[in-house]
Amino acid sequence: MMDTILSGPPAPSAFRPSPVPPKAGIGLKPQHVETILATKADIGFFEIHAENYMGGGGLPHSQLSRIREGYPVSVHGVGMSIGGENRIDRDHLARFRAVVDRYQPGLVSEHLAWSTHDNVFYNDLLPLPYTSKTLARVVCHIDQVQETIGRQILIENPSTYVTFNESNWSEFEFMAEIAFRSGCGLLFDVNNVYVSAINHGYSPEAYIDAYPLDKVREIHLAGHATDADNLDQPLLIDSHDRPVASSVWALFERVLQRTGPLPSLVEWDNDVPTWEVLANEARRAQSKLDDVLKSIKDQQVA
Amino acid sequence: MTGSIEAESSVQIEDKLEHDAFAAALFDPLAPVPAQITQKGASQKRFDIYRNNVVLSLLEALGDAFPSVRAIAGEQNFSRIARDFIALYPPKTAMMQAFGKEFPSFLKNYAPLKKSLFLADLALAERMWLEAYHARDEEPLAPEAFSSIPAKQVAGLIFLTHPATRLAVSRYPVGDLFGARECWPVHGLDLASSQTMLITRPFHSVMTVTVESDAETAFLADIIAGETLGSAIENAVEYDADFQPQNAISLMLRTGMLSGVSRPHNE
Repeated sequence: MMDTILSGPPAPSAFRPSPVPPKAGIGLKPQHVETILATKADIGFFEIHAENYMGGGGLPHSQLSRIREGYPVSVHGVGMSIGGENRIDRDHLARFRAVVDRYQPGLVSEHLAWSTHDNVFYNDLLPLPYTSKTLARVVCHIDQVQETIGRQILIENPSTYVTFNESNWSEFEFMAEIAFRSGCGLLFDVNNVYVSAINHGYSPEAYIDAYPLDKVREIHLAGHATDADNLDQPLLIDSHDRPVASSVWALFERVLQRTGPLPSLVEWDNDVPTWEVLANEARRAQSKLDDVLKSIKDQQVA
Repeated sequence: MTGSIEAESSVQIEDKLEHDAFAAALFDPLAPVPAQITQKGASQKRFDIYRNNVVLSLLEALGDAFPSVRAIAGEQNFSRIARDFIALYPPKTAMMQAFGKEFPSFLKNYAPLKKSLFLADLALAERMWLEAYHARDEEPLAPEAFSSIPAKQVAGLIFLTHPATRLAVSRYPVGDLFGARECWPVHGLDLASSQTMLITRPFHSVMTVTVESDAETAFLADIIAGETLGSAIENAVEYDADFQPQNAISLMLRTGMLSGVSRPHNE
């Protein structure tokens, strides 16, 4: 019975490539699709998780096709296990490619994380040590994905709750090196920067200032929850279930001052709010993008 | 030559992987936190975030795939059943639609539920619903296509079923139990009655039809198995001499469970 889900030839694309503009976008949720289409919502782009569109047909594809007719789309993978020790799952890569071929997204991205180990998929973005050995493996996996889909992917910096004894690269150096060696671009998740910085006791501003922002092609923004670890140190959780924190908005502005406007996505994956709440978050991101564009223009005039 | 042999023999195949300990501890709440983690003294709570993310996300995914089983079992029972299931059948791929396909057969053999076998049948119907939801798109057979066929050829017709079409045959009232995803408990439910669910998806919404008669179930099962219309009717009549073929044919056409029809070559 599963064969009808697993196989099924990829449909030839009905869409022309449509670049993702340097505007605010929103992570697409099925419950918002009808409102978006009925109101012709003014949003720069929508991002989808590739894994949700790997079925053969039905409502998910019909909804996404209608969205894609009116908006640029970015495809974000959450299950490639780029940071895993095992080889990339070829079946999964083929399904990923089919989604990219079918919807011709403006951007394609994945994570610096692992989720599959020894043939078990853990359904989470798990952390990896930063060593020369893991670096070589990650680069090899990115090469394989880029070769298969025939285009550049962006790799997202993780939010983490632990670090590893064997790590001897800083995260920002590691990200710069994988971009340099594989030719991938970077997706800069500002909330992840903040969550990891607080969890591991370093300055998020210093991290941003050291980051290879010239390789960044997209930004993510999301909300986080606040907890404490066993030693009562602050422990932030990348929960994607609430508005973006004010500290993260401030870091977003800091990034934009160096990069200029970039496609900037608001993610809200748990306790998903009404469309109006989500659209307001996107408007807030858009106003910051507008501000930075204006300040660049003002500087040019001056 | 010698050099290359030496080079080859120096290649070590690692059978222990760096993520082994981390991965193993994710599913085992009693396992110690992996030693490679830096945060001494604070690592437990930090590692538990990953543990929770993994286990809770899988419990939620399984519950979302089997909402009626979850409603009937209750959250706590379902969670216990689901943990036992995940320990045996963790997901193998990142395409989460595939996760849970062994759940119906797991429930059938699950000792704590040996008095609630109806849950296994219900789980199979829910699995079929999910498969129908994601099945390939195909135009259903239009009723007109059928009416234009000469009467003498009708008995020999063989149908192609739509990629979404499934038939959940049960000794239990699986159609009524399926409604638990919307509303539970159902009053006046007779666990001794048997039902079959026909599951289709003519366009984008999954359609379910509850069939009560054994003759109609036999008819639908034969059609799906590729028997001719004539032999499906004959078989159904054996179950029930009053079987009404036109009602069953109308059901087939109305639900969009078919996608094609082929006429026999020899007529």
